[in-house]
Amino acid sequence: MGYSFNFSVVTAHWGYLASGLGTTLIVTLSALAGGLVIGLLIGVLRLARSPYLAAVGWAYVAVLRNTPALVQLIWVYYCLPILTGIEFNTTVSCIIALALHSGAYIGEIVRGGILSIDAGQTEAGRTIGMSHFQVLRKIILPQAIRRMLAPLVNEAVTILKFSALVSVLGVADLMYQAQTLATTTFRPLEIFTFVAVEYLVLCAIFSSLAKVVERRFAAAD
Amino acid sequence: MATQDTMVQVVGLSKSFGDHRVLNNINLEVKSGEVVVMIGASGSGKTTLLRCMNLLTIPDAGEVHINGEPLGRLNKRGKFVPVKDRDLDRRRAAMGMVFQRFNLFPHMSVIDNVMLGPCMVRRMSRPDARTLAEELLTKVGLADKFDSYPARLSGGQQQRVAIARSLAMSPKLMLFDEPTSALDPELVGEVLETMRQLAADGMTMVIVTHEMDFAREVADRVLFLHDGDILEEGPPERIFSAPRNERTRNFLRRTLRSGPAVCPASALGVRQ
Repeated sequence: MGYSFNFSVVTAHWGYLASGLGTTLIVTLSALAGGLVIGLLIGVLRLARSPYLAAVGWAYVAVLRNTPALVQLIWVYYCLPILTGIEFNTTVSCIIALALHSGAYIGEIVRGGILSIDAGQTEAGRTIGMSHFQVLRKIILPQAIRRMLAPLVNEAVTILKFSALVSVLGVADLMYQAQTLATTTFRPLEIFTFVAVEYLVLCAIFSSLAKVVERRFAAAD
Repeated sequence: MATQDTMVQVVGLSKSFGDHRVLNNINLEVKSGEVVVMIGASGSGKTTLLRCMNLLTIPDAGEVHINGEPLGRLNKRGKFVPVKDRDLDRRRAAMGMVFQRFNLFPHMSVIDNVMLGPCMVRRMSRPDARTLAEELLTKVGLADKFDSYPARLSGGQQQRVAIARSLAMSPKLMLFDEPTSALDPELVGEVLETMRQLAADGMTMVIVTHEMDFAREVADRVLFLHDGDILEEGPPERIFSAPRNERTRNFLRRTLRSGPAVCPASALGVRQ
């Protein structure tokens, strides 16, 4: 290979590249927060006693898991404003789309977590007169959340990586800044290698944070 | 028996799981203050009958009244429909249930396990609930375990916490579903002792157990279930020493360490 790497292009545009980092983190964390709320709702809905409510949860997961995230992103950006009449800025559209997407996966995680708790726990709660909702909130979810932690970290890392898709709509995240820089400096190899390393480091930080939380939980048991 | 009011009334109760008929038109009345023990082989329907008394299992047909209040009604097609959730919760709060597998809440300390019901359901203040929980845990002999987590306790201690958790709701009736079956033999005694105390305090109790000596000692009445029917019932002295039904005789011969008086000496040869 005759290519000689020259990473000075990265150091020369350090500030420009770093500005994308903030956007990536904001999009990822906001989408995750939204996804958690949606996922909790969908997970509980899927286990509802009413078959209609359960069907709503099932349909949501079926649609969102069986369509590409990129299609969902573009659909929310172009179609949602037409259908609802509400205009969002591009970043907000992206956050909504990713939150809806991760909500489906988190919903499955929540459902699995709840189902993994022994039925005797629910029975014990109901026999002391607690309502369905009280049992869920005080007995089932606190136990289920510990078991959901590992798959949730997985999901967080996935969303972080998916967030690169928002560059398609022109949101100035890590990926978008890199693409712009690559076309103006003609140094795509250095720039995209650097961006890959940035994502790698971010994801590794996410995972190790989760390890700390998990250890804290394990100590409390 | 302290009084003669009826605590539990079961009329024409039936339950099937798929094609398998577990309970067959059961009629049963338990007086206030009475201790009723249900015995029978596994699969005889005794646990299902117990679980129908607080609707953890929903019967197919029949009536269940607790302290004069129905737990459900029959719809037009004769199918059992439970009362509204809120009414059911209220009725359940007046009944304690102790499970074979304890079912303590593992993420809460012992005292929090006992306080949860009073705080959430009775809306008791935390200091009041704590006083009550400490009192009950002391009564079951666990005064030194308030802040332990269930996983750190022996099976016998866990089961006594479970009993205290039920008692915290001041139940009028306690249901016991094989409370000692999951325990190591040396831990059975402490749980039975707690139950003995409860019976002496006049608690109405319905107990499913394989502890025949305990049944004989504590029960006011023993029911023998077989294939979803109550085949025989009566005071323990009579059931254990002079069972009338042949199936009861066979069951007791297989179960009792020292066979009942009517058993021929040869029966001792088949015990395990």
